[in-house]
Amino acid sequence: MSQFVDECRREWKRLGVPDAIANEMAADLAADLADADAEGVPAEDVLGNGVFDPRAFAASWAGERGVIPSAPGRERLPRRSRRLSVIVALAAIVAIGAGLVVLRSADQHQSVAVVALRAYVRAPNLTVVPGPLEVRVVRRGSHFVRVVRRGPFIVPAPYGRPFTARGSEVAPAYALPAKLPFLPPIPDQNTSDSLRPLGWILLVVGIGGLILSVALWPRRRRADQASPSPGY
Amino acid sequence: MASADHRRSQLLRGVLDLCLLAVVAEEPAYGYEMTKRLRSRGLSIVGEGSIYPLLGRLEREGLVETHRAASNGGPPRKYYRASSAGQRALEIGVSEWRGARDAIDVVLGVVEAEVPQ
Repeated sequence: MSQFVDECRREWKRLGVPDAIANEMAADLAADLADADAEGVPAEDVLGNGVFDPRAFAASWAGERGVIPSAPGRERLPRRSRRLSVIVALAAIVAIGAGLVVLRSADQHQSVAVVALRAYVRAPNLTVVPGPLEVRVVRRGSHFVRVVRRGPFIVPAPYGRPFTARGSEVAPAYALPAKLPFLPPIPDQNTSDSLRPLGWILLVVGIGGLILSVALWPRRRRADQASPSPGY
Repeated sequence: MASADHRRSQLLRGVLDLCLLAVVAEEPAYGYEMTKRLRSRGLSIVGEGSIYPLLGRLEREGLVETHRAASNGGPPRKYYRASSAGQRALEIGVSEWRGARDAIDVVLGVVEAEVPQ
């Protein structure tokens, strides 16, 4: 059975059991097995079902005795759970980043629209412009124009008067010169519009990742804790 | 329905620590000696878990004390004996065992069963 004791030694060394304690346990085990062998008692009578798995036996003994040093991280979470934690963190970062992209593109439209409202500079002749937002500012030559969506089109309302398009009543809209000093930079409509779908996709992916991680977390923890042990 | 082996294993699992405490409370013993004493009283651990992890737990919990002493003609061995905390734990555990055993006997006592030879 010296091979069994050697296997145990290797496992204790791998687990970081101090040499003095490992030597003591190995010596006791070897002496007990030698006694049993001398009396014709099978090793299974001494080791129980641990005789078939020396590594698990050694780990169980050292663990129960409390002589396995806790490495940084090992006592915090099992390996699988640590991996899952990284996935959760990445999913959270993706979700937060995507949310910021979506909100920022909307905020840019709205902040410019507020400036446009304050200026009250009326626009020259304008045309119908399609767009996804209820309130947005677009460039028309030397002017920025606030437009209001009603029905299927975004309709700029020139000269601050109510304007009727295709039978729908629209609110007044205003335009102002593009070079006013207090006017913040106008975001590139095409760029921000193209980023928004990507932002929404990333937001859905991030939230989906978070939900999946939360759903998997308890099962992973249970699986980690259910490692078989040959000892009582 | 659990198999006989499985049930025996489960029953033993719940009281083997008490059995070991009882053995070393009677007289200090080293690992293999405990196994022999248990076997001499009809309690074999064949097919069950080893006593060593359990001894490690009892030691960690301060329920047993250890010392090294020469054995009969062999190398020095690690002897275990019940500490005062172990003695108290043994008394409480035996009381719990007897209470559970009596209650189970009341329930199962009405059943006439043939013991397989």
